[in-house]
Amino acid sequence: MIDIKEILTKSEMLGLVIPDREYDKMLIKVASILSEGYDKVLYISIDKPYKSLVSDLKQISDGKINMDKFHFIDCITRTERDAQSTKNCTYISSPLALDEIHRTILNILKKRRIDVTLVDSPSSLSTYYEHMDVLKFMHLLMTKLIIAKCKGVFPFHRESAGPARRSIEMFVDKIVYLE
Amino acid sequence: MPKIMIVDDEPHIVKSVKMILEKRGYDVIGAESGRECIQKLEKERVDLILMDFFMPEMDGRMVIEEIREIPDLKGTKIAILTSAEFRGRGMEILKELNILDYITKPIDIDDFTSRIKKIMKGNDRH
Repeated sequence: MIDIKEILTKSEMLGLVIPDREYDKMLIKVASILSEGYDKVLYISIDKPYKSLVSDLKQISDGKINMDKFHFIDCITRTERDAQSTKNCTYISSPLALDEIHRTILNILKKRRIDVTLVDSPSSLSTYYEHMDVLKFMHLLMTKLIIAKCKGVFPFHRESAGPARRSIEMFVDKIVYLE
Repeated sequence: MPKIMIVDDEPHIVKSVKMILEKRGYDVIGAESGRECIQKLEKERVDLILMDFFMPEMDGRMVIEEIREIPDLKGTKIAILTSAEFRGRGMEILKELNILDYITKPIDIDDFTSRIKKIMKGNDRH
């Protein structure tokens, strides 16, 4: 695995392209690496439940990962069941609530010192929104992250990301291909 | 008379840029989508295209890539006129696509017209 922390010293906004087959596994590894290099990681999950992410992160680190280094925004769990936000996770009503996602991110960036934000993933948003809405949202998000002095990591599925990747890469400093 | 095409999905921007440039002696045509831009370019040639980035269906990059694939239009001058802030990789891509300038909205009329003048004269590389 490449040295993401080293790359992030030179890039504020980083795009990652990950083979579809390896995406979930590699992204958990990336999140784990980020937690080793930074004090606070904001993990925005559009379509993976918080509980399953926690379980995957614990599994990949043999239980050694410090989960307090993460704050999650879970956009999917409440579409299936009621869930109360906790110290480590804020639940959003649905991936369709783009304004709520945006407001929640801003609120977290305002209240806490976040070092790096991982958005999993910009292309998942394309399932729910028109291309231009995703593009504008991502552009706005990156602007807010820069203002908050927070780095951004934007992973894309290599084969199935669709046009979102090619458009959003206009706003990042660097694209890294993971194999 | 030099001909410029302004491509923006917001009709009031097309209208106001058209007005500004026409007053300065340019012949200006407008397009409100990437598709309309390409359709118009198939019928008439322009000296410069001013392209917005945030557009529905086809964003600015998609439209420019399509234009660059049309042999007759490969050399057409293109500048980006947009509210988007491009970063490192984006600037590399603009260079690869041979984009001559990148003007942010809202525009300052004097700066905008002087940059258009420079591009049209060929003194256009930043």
